[in-house]
Amino acid sequence: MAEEMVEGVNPTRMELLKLKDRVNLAVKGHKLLKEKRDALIMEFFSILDRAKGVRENVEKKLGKSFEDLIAAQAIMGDFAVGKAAMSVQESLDIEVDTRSVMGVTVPVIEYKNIKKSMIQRGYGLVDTSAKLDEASCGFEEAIALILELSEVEMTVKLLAGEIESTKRRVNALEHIMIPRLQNTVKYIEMRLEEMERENFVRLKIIKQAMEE
Amino acid sequence: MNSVDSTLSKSSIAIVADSDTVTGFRLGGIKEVHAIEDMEGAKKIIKDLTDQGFSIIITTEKIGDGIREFIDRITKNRTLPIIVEVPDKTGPIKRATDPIKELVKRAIGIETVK
Repeated sequence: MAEEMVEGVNPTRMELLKLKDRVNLAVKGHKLLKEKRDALIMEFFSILDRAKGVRENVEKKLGKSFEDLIAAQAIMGDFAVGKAAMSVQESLDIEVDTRSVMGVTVPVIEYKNIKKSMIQRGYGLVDTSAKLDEASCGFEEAIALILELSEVEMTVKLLAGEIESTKRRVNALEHIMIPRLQNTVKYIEMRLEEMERENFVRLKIIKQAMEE
Repeated sequence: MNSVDSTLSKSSIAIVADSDTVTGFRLGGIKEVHAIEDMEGAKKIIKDLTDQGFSIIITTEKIGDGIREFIDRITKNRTLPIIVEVPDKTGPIKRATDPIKELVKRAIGIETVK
């Protein structure tokens, strides 16, 4: 037998039955894992559709917001901008929940109250520049986009990891475990048949000897 | 402001970044901000924030690149915290390979056109 086999099995009928059970189990497991992999990949593609362009949006929005911020710093001075930023009220309400996709926990982020009116922001309107309002507004929008980005990227990352490990298990079963078990079953069957033939011949010889 | 005091904050989002980025996000309405100067400080603060159960930590791409191994270790096989890297005021870092694309390639085995 050139093919690989499970180590340390005796060619007996008990072992054969046990091995056949193992083959059945492995085949069943392989089928289930394959289905899991396919479902994960489908989910993965749908999340990839959502991920498209989110990062670009964040980059664009942040770029614009930083421009406004730098303009505000140029007009009002670093210190005044820092002071105004310190007095901004926090109204952000974020809830991070998780949902399960084929046994993988992925985050779901919900948020409200990100956009604020000028008065809600909490800094004085007299000694601040309009650029500062634009920057605040831009950063509020950027935060909303970043939240979406973080949800999507994390989901992609987690799903990719799970797909990889599921794929590895599917392949291990398909190419190593199942063939190995089947080879062993075949080996035991052949050994048992051989033993039966040996026995048959032995009986024949004894019979012959007794007749003489 | 290098110490972490979270008893006052109610949301579970935090920023760890350079001082300008921090100012910007403060304007956007996030209170849990940490301006850091070096990578060691960033590591320490991200570790503290993680232990306190913050679920989203925003940092900059520069810091992310500086402490990549540390971040990978924290986020490995975990859903939370989510550490998300955004560009700072100098704009996004140009990368040879898109990390998301790389993941797709590894998961599916082929490169999908995006």
